[in-house]
This record gives sequence, C-alpha cells and structure tokens, in this order.
Amino acid sequence: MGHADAHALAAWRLSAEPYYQPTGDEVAHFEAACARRLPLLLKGPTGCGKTRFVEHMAWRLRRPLVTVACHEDLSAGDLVGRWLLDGDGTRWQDGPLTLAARFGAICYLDELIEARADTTVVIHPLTDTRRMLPLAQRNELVHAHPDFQLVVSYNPSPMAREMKPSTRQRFCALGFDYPAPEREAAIVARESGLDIARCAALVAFGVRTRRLQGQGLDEGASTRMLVHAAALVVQGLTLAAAAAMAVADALSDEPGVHQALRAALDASF
Amino acid sequence: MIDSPTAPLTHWLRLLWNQAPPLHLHGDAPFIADGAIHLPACHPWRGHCAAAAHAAAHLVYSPRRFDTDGLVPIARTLLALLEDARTEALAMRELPGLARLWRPLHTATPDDGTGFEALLGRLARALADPAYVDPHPWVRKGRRLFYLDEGLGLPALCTPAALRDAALRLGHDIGQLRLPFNAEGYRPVPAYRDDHRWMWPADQQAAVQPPPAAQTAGGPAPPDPPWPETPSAVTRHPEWDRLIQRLRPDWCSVQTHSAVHRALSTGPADPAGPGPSPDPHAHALGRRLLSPLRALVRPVTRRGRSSDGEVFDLDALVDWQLAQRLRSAGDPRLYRAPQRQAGPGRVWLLVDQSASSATRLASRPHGAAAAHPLPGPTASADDGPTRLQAAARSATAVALALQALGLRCTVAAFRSQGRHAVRLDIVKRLTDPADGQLGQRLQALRPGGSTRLGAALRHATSRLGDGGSGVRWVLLLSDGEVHDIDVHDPHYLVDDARHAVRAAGRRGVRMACLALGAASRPPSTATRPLGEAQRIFGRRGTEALTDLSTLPRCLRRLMGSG
Repeated sequence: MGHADAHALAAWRLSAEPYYQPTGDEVAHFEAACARRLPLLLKGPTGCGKTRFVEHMAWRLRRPLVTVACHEDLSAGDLVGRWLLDGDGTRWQDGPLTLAARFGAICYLDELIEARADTTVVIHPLTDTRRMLPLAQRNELVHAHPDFQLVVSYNPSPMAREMKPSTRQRFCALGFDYPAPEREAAIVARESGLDIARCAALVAFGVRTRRLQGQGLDEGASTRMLVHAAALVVQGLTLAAAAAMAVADALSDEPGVHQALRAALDASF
Repeated sequence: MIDSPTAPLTHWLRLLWNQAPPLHLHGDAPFIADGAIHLPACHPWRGHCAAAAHAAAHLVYSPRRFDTDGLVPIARTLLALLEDARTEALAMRELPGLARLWRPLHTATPDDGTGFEALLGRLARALADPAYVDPHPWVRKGRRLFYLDEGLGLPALCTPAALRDAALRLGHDIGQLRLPFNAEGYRPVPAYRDDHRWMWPADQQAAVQPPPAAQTAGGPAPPDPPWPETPSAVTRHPEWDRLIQRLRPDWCSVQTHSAVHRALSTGPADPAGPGPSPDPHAHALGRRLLSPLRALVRPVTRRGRSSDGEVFDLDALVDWQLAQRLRSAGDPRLYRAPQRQAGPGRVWLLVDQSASSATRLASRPHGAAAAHPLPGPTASADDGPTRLQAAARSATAVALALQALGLRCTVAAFRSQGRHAVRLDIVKRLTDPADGQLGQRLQALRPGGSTRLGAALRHATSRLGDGGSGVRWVLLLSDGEVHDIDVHDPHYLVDDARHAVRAAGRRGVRMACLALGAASRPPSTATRPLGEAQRIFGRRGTEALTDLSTLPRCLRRLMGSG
C-alpha cells in the first residue's frame, strides 16, 4: 500500500484489538472467505455481535475497516461518491465504498436491507468476479484493490424486509445468534466490569425477553442492551433499575407488552 | 389479541416460563381446567398476576396427575397445600421477585384459631414465608417435613410419593386432634390459589384434566372441529359484545389453513417449475389498478432543494452563480432533495367465502355481454359471475398490481361455523409471488359457512403487526353481510366488526371494503349489505362493486384520490 493509500484510509484503521468472544469457527470461516475474496453476509439478530466481529477481524487481518450504517435514505451517491462545489468549481469526492475498493479495505455495510433497492444494486459489480465499481458520474471504472473485502450484515427478523435473491446469492453467509447464557454472561462481565453472578441475572432476564419475539416484540434484549444494563449497575444502579432503564423501558412502548416486561422485571430481581 | 384484557398477562407468563395457556376472566375464584387458566374477572393487576403465576407454576413444576386412592378429604387437602407450596418454592428460587407478589397475600396468624381451616392457612403461610413464626406444633412439624433447607428455600418433598407421605402424616395428626373439616365448603387460602380440581382426575369422571403441558398461544382446537382438515395454526381473538360493552377475551378461534400447497385440479403438473402466468384478463385489470393503488407507495415528501444530495439542481446552480457574481450570499441548497419514500407496505386481501357469496354479482338484462366474462363451471357469461368469483378475480388483479408496485400482500379467504370455527385459508402468503396459481387457487374456492368478519379482521390486523413507515392495509372483498350460526342479534357482529376496524385504525392499519353486488344507491332492501358495510368501515371506507370494470374507479375512491 502506497503512501497516498495509507493516508486515505488512516482514519479507518483500528488502533486496538476489539474484544470478541468466538462462539464457533466463525474466525476461520471469515479468514477463508477473505483469502478467496468472497463477499460475506453476516446474519443475526440486533446486537448479537456482528459489528464487533467485523471489527475484530479487521484488526486481526490488519486491514482498515470502512463502516456504513445503511438506512432508507441512503443513496447510491452516499456510497460511491459525488461531485461537490467549491470556490474553484466542482470536485469529486469518493464515497466510503469507492474509498475501500480503490485503496483496499474491508467495507462493512451494516443492515444492508435498510437501503433502497436502487442503492443496493451498486455493490453488485463488486461482488462477482469483475470486482469493479463503475462511477458513471465521473466516467471512471474503479478496479477493486486486492485487499478490498465486502461484508454486509442483515437481520432476518420476522418483521424485516426480505433480501432480494439477486443480491443474496452473491454472498457467502455466516449465521450469528445470541451466545449461550453462560457465555453471554461472561461477555457482559468482560465488557462492563460487573461480577459474573449479577451479569448472569441480567442475562437470565434478557433471555426471558427473547421469548416475546414475534409475540409482542420484534426482537428481545440484545447482548448490547445487557452490557448497557451491566454498565449502569457498575455506576451504582440496582439490577432492577438498570434492567428497567436499559432493557424493559427501551424495548417497547406498547402498553400491554411494557406492563408485562415491567412485571417480569419485578419477578426476576 | 392486543386488545384483549388478558394480553399483558399472556405476555407476562411467556416472559416468566415461556408458557401461553389460554386465559379467561370470569367468576370469582381461580381454577385450572381444560388446559386453560380461569381467573376472577374483577381482580386488580397484581391479584391477577399472583393467581396467574401460581397457576402457571403448576403447569411448569407440577406432575401431570396425582393418585387419589386411599386419600381421605383431609389428606387430599393437605397434599394440595403441600404441592402449592412446593411449586411456589421452586418458582421463587427461579424468580425471587415472586415472593414479593405472593407473601403479602398470606395473612393467617395464630389469632385465627386452631380449627383445621385456620391451621391450613397458618401452614400455607409458614411454608411460603420463612420470616413467619408460628408457635403451633402441627404447623412447625409441617414446616420441618416440607423443607430440606428452609434458608435456601429448598423443599424436601420432590416427588408425589413424598408429598403423599407427608400429607398422610399431617392428616393423621389432624385426625388425632379430632378437628372437623367441611371439605365441600373449603376454599384454599390465600384466595389467589386455584381450587386444585386439576389434581384429581377421578373427580372429573372420564375426563382427565391434569395440569396441561405448554400450550401454544392459540390454545387447543375445539373438540369436534367442523372442518375436515387439521389447521396449521389456531389463534384466539377477542370479540366485542355490544350488550355488555366490552371485549370478550379469546372468544373466537381462527383456524388457519394453508391453501398455498393444496393440489389444484387445474394446477400445473410440475410444482417445482415456475407458476403459470395469470390469465390475460387479470393482467389487463391489474394494469388498470396500478394508478389508483400507487397512492399506497406515494413518496412522503415533495421534491425540493437540499444542501446535501446526489444530483445538482441546475436552477439552484444558476441562482448560486448569479449570487456569486453579485457578491451576495447565495442559497447553499444546490442539490435536488431526495424524496423520502414510504417504507415497504404490507396488504391483506380478505375474501369472504361464505355461502351468501354464491349469489350472482349483478343481474344482467338477457343477452347483455359481461364486461369481464369469467371462466368456470358455475358461471356463464350470460348470467354473470358469482360474488365469490368476482371477489377472486378482483383479488387476483389487486395482488398483481400490488406486486408490480413492490408491495407485498397476503391473500386469504374466510368463512365460519360459529365462534370456535372461523376458518382462514391462506391462498397467498406474504412472500409468495402473484402468479397464475393464485388465480387458480382463488377460483377453486367454493362458497360455504357464515361470515364472522370481526375475527377475520382482527387476525389480519395482528398479522400485519405494528410499526414501520410503510402502509398497512386490509381490503375486504365481501357481499357485506355479516352473519354466523351462533349469533341471533343482527347488530352484534356488525358492532363487533366495527370495533375491530377502529382498533386496527388505532394501530395504524387501514381497512376498506369492496361490497360486491351491493347497490351504491338505496332504492330497495337489497342495499342492506352496503349499509352494514358502511356502518363497519365508514362511508369513505366502503365502495359498492357491481361490475368488475368499475374496480379501478372504486379503488381510486377508496384511496381517497378520485
């Protein structure tokens, strides 16, 4: 990587190892896909560790990580770049996808399904053997750097949109789920600094909330939520107060569901 | 389901133990029967919680049945009391907060006396509350027998045999004390505890009523289902009773059947291959529906200028350049503003399959040509399609148009035979393509049964769910007549359906009705169905359809754009 390349992606390099607790062979599988430059689809519920895993792998493979949180207003221009106006006229600015493809980085499109269909198709030429990105507005064809790796995440909840087969079939997939309770308690303890016994109690409550998935809740409490609750306990809140603030009150506004969550909280602690 | 007053309790039991037994609010004492938990109607929330958690704890921790052989009433009562205490001890070990729910409801004290029923209350409290001190030797003996480690809340009595043995020993002591007991009039205390009728199968003649295993949220199917096939799911929904002005919880059972994979006599031979194309008439009609239905995917904002964007707005660039030359501050909004699109919408098309849909859509003058002749064995072009055939044709065209607009839809037909048997045939699931098989499946529907509309509407509403920025819409294709075999009040089902429509509106689900065969003007009694439909869906939510060629116009009116 040349000096200019290193400068362009300097801000996207991770300075410290992000903590990630593997639950299976996902590290080896990710490395295998990267070695063959195969795009990857990470599937799993919200807050189960997909983003942290990608950060960990970027650090492990010593590659910059360009992350884009996709949303319904994300345009193709937001990904590939656009012309800007300055005092001398117009100038082109690469978008995050172009930047990663041009200089060689892992481009992580978080919750790709949230983007509109006309935005999603932009990645198609980068995901097959062509590995290129046409910039029609600039009349340029960017050939992807050998170190470029495309990773997208997708949360296949019952309420989520379906990913189109034409997009889905370009990816190899890695499935993620919430860790087993003991392992999840260890993760929450490691992330928050709270003792394992109280983390286990918080995780037990989190596991209960997941029983309402599709029965009043789109999704139950994520590992991230439980880490937040544990962090609040470290700050001095009681377990019940922290779980109410970080989980029960955050999960739902539907009165019946909220009432049930609060009552379950009372019963749990 | 969300409207049901038992919904929070149902959610709560699922959260605690992943149990979802049917809940019924009635009477004045809790009990477990027929796999359901029955709770008093007028308890406060915490009272309901205490009773529901106790009953559900039996479902989780209790054996399926108890042997009553050789047990006199006193021993039986003691066995039930010990089992109550054992299940609660296990529940409180898993969920310590339940102690704060149950223990305050134990109010027995030594002042209550030394009669057998008073001692039962004192023993129940002694086993539930370690902080309670009772001086009576019999109560203390019961506590010693019950606990392996009282401080840890570990019961020693883990098997039915151990419970029985302890009950016999305590019962023997009562016999020695010559204490009288009126078993018929006894009610367990505290009042949140059920009456144990599930424990004694011999009392229930042939019907064994053990504490039921985990039930699905839909509850058990009726014992004698009138439909020959086994439903893929049974879901209970409340129903609005106009006389008592409240919802009757879990009143109707909606039996969902999948018609997606059902063999069709006229279907394609190769199920793995692509579905057949819809007939050209449906395609032509579907194309005419694109314009009116486009209102469902209309952008939620107008296009304007923006300081950030993808494409320059040329007029804005010119204005900015002019401002530069005039040395004034130009408008920095140089880009075309992105138009915010609505999220992905979801639609339910509900086809009324009841017996009354067998009548003709409209009587035509003899020899007049139908605008859209329908193929099929039961209709000819001369006498016009039946209302069900017209509904099938309309639903196919609407589904095609929705698919072309990128909206996903479910198509379902419904009919009923009483509140326990509201049948819903899913003709097209949300993710299935609208192809020729959809038209064939719809045309294969045969009229039968009645129209319990409120249950079908509530089911569609619950499946459309909450949230999201996209439109959620239910379109009913019906003759507009609501009726069922177990309802004789002509206003009952109309008011119930109207309640369902309003409840759906509060959840952001819009509803509309195409009243097939109903006249739009009221010259005769034949207009009653339209009047009923208007009472249910409102004037703006109801359109009369007497000819398929007017379907685009009807939909445009329903969309509010005509």
